Amino acid sequence: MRCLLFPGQGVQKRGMGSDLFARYPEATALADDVLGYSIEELCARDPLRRLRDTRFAQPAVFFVNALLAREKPQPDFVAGHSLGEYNALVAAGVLTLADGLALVARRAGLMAEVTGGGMSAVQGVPAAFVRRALTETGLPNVFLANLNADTQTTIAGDRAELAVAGKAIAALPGARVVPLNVSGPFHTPLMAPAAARLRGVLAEQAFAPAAVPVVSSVTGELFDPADGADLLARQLAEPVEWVRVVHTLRALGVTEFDEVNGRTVTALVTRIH
Amino acid sequence: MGHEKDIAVVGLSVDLPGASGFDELWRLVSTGSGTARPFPADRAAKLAEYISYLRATSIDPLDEPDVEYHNGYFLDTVDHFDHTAFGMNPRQATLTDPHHRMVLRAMYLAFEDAGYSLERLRGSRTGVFVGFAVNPGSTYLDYISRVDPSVGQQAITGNIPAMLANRLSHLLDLRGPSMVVDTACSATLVAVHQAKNALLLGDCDLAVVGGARIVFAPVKHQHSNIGIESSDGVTRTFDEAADGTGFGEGSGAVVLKRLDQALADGDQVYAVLKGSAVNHDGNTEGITNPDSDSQADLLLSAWRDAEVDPRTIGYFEAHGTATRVGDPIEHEGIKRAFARHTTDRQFCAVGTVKANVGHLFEGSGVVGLIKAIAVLRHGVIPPQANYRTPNPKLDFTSGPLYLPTEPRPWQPEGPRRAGVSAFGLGGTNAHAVLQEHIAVDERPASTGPQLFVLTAATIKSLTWTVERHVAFIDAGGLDGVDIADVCHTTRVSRSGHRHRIAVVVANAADLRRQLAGLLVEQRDPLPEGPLGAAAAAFLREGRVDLEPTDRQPRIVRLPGYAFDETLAWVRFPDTWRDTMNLTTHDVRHPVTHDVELREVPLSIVAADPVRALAIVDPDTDAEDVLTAAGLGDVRFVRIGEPVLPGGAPFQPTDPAACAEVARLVDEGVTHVVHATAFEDKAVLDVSVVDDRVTKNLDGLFQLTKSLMAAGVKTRLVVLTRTAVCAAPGEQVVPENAALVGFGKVVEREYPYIKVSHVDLDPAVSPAALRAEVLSEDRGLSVLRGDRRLREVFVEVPEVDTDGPAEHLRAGGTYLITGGTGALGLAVAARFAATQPDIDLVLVSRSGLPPREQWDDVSVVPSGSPVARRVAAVREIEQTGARVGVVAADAGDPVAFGAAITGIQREHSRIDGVVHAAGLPGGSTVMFRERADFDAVVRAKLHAAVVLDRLTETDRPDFIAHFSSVASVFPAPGQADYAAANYYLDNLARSRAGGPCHVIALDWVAWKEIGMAVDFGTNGDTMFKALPTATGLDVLDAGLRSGRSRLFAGELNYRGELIHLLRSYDVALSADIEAKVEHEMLALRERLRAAADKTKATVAAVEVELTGRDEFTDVERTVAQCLALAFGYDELDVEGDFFDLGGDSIMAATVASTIATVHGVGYDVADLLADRTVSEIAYHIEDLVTFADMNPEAV
Repeated sequence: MRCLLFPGQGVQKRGMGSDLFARYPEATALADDVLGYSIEELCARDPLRRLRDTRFAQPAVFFVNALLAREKPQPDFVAGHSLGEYNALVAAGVLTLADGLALVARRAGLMAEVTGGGMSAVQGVPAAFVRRALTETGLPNVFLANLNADTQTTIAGDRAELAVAGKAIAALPGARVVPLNVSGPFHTPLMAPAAARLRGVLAEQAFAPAAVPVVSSVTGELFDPADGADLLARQLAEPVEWVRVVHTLRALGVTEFDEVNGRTVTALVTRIH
Repeated sequence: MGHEKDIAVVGLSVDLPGASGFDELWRLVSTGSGTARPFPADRAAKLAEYISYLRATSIDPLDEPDVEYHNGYFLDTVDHFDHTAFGMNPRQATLTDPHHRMVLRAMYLAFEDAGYSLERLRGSRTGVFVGFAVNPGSTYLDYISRVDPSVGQQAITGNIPAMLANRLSHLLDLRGPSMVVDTACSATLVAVHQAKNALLLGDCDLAVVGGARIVFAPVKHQHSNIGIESSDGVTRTFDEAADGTGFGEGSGAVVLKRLDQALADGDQVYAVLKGSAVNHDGNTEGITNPDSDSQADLLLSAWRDAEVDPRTIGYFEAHGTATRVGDPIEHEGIKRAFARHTTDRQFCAVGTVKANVGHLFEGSGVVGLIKAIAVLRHGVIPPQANYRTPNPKLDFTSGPLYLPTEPRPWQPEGPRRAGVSAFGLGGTNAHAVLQEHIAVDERPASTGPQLFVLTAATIKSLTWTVERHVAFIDAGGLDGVDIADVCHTTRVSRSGHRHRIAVVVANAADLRRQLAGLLVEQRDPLPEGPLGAAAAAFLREGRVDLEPTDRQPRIVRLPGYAFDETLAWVRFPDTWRDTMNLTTHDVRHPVTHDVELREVPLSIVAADPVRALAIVDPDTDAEDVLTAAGLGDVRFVRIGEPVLPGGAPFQPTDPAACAEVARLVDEGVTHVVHATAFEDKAVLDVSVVDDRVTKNLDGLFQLTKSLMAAGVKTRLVVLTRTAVCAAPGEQVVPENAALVGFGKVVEREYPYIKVSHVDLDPAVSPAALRAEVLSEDRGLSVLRGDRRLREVFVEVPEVDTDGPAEHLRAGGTYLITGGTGALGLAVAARFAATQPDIDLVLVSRSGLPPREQWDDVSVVPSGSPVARRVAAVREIEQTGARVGVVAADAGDPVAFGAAITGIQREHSRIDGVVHAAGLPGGSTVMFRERADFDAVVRAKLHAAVVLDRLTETDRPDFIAHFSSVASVFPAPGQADYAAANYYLDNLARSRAGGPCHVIALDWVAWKEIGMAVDFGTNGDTMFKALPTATGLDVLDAGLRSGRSRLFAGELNYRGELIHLLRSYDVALSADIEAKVEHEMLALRERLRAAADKTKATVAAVEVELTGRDEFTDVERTVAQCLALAFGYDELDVEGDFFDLGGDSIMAATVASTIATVHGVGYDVADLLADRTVSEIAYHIEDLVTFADMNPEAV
């Protein structure tokens, strides 16, 4: 069976979706209306260099993901990495495109307000080693943020502590630590205030039953729309369990992984055994 | 009048000593002047230190304080360049060979002269042909690399010859052929021929051809003379006093286009290339000897190609190097060629520009061509310079040539025609036939005002270029030239740069007046109307948009671009004597080492209470022994019993069971004691050994994997009973020693499990065991009674020769496992060379195809690994040794056993064994599959057991086990490999004193062959990689000794990894420890000195920051670091690293300089993210603050 995957923030680049907007004029107009600016200008030309800014990057990636998904055949399963999970929910019919976009814009705004943090990618060592190293450093404000593949994780937290933790982890044999250009300590408890506010927004949101099964990046289990508000709120402050997502999908019989907007998350799949 | 093969010369440039430009060259030529002189004093002064350095550092130093230089035709300066005009930064320009810079400049000017701006060329099908050769002796790269060896990488694109052509093609986006031609002295004329052909074939629509030459250091010394030098540097071609050629410097370039196209395009045509030819002397007496027959053939071919009657050629530009051999041969060739067509005498003037400007070697062809063009255009036969008395060997009166001694008008009946020759030292000759072009202009004169523009990359260049135009007009340069053509030429060829002027002019006088006005900043207002608007638009945007007129404009000659040149030269330091260290460090260290077990004091008991979890085999007394030791709170996990009540019986290799144990451990267990390998008797039954290995080694593997997966932090104590051989010949259970090797790797993969290994005998007291288990020490402790032994790595400076003098018997049979591998074959070859009368049986997994198929390429494809093995076997058989190959997997006891039995049946006795079979380790424990782990172990361990078992009753003279550095100093990912090799080391030691000499050889990586080469790990690391011959010598010495082990590898004390030696759990002997200490101090000292030097160099950089009013101190020091890399004396605080000319190769150096200067960790990734002085400084300040607050974190 086939699963369609959606990447999250980080895949944005100027010019993305350039040829799509004209093909989907209604959706594009809708997006302009929800966002209050031209989505096409942001994605295709970005004259104000806003794609570096979380507030703009997230709606941009979400919308281009959503249009690209329309060009794909109907999948048997869907899942998304962080922000991409909203696309998975739209693709599954749990959220409408308009609702999804409005939520994403709100989420992006709340996330951008949390500053002073950062993220680093850790490659070459298993997550267990990273977790142990973090414990040994005794730093209270650095956490595992993404479990992306067998030996690929990200850590996030307070910017100064993150630098110290990065150094400790880099001392592990085979480990490589690369700082990421991200403004906040996403997917860590430091996001709790933003998560609480997002929870308030999500409480007002209706979640329809899933027409296509979705696997949650928070639990690594099937996404139950009844718990939608809780899962999406938790997602901000809890690690992305991507390895679990892929294990679950494989256990459900998925053998083919497809992706919109690049090869970022399918590349991770090949590194999960 | 033209035909379709005609090629037009549509632009040119020339820069020679005393002749910077076409007109100045003609002045020199037409007056018969030469510019030979002594080497300029300031250039000599700049070279003085370098020459002294070269002489002092020669292997046979030359102690001659005075440096004498040849006279010659030298440029005033070769060390300046206008980097801005060519989009380089000052640093790049400085690291670029002056030849490259001169070629760029020459070709730029030639394009401009041809009416092409950079914009007009971009993306065009234009070919670039450069004639050039790297000259022996000093190259610029050689010079700058001696000043600073680290620049090599950065300087490479500015110094390899191909880039001469490629850089211009890249810079201007030219899509035609781009190549450097090297045929020595004929190179640029051969390049003209190539360009002509490329145009005719349609490879390109436009072509530029050129070359350049400087004489880097024309030192006069008998060692460096090549035999053609003129004694006084003057070239006296065809003169009686001619004794050689004078060195010339300079550059020249021509732009070529098909004549029909040039006329259609309105180009100016300097001359027409009617035809050309290139040939080679073939096999002459010597490769440097010229040959008159070949030269005559060359001329005949060129004339045929040009389809002209040679009798109509009135001027001949000879190669004419003024050598005693060359000139008469050239004259003879010319005579013979003309004689085929005419008997007329003395109708063709001959001369050579080498007498005026010297010999430019590879560059000489194009300079001769340009001179001949000047002769055609001026219609005057120039006098030959430096010609007084005819060379008596040249009889001009009987031939077609005459030597003019004064200028005379040249008025032939038809068009003027000239020939140009150039001959290469190695025998490649070229000749070109030129014809004057008579322009026909039937266009009406232009009417009305015109738009004239000029641009330049810098204000200075713009000012100078304007001044040149004023002077050009004053000298009558525009007399008779239509102002519309002048203005058109500037618009299409002078418009590409950022500083611009535009004026609307009525005629040449008006142009002069307005240009002169601009120089004093009095500009006429632009007129109303379309021209004024176009001018204003041009000043704003740099683009000219004018309606085309009915009158087709043409390109005309105008002054060229005035470059704004600055110093671009690496200065040779006058401090080289102080900084050079001529003493070399040639200390030899032994190749051979060993690991000894030395007695040390007993452990002191730790006071802290412990919580232990012990895994035991109830079939042994491990639990009793541990209980007696009184460790404190011990939870026993017993094989065959549930871990938790109601669970499944514990099996050591069960992942779920081990995960269960790991969970327990994670709940605060301080010590995990792995004590299943507690058997007290060795066995030789391979299936029993296999069971033990599974239970003990695989069990430890699975447990470790689970502990890692759970991310626990604990101490792992591996307990064994008499597994490790404490003294040579001790009866032990060797297979359990494999656990020691395994344990050595664990901590290198996962530092949160500290591993110690305790091997004890029954006489050890419970207290001693308790102390050892609770000890903080890592690594192996062997307890025997009340003695405690620890591993020490020691040197073996001399290998004793207490073994057999001849270890190979005549008529003996020698078995080599892994025999068709590279090491196996090398050993076989060495054995055969030592004792040819032997049978060698090579056992390997793959074996070799049957002997009768060895010549069948479908079975043994040539060049394949199989072919190499077959060839190696055949070579061994050349010695007389008999070689048999048996396919059997050493890791499969049944198959391997059958193979051994078969060999024994055939050969009655196996006299010696080299067990070289092995598989490399593959990945870290965490990601290792058990089957792969086992395969590595079995190829060594199981095979060794089978060998011992099957030779139990008739022992060979020797068994040499190939072990590895990994059993002592393993790397991550080698747990299985280390385990298997540790077993072999231990097995050999336990067999000491027996009837069979068993020896283990711990090899470091072999440099030339084997596993390390296959996997690319054959470089020098902590140890120097082992040359094959040295390795085989060690094997030889080992077999002639009585030793049971040798560690073969020389420590790489001066390598940067030597400090790692101390990170292992094996102690170092005092002498090794002292050497490591010494070298680490020395290394630290070298690094400190290098850092100090970097800091001093950066501090000396003067750079002005712009873009803001105030700057921080860190911004200033960061700017110095960038300025050092790029050479700017001014930097914008927001200037982007890449816009400054940075690339990812430079980034590493720049980041390291920044880190050193500021004493913080700063790397390439940081630099590529920050990119500007301001951002870098901001980041650095952050790092410095953080380091101040967290001193231990740095």
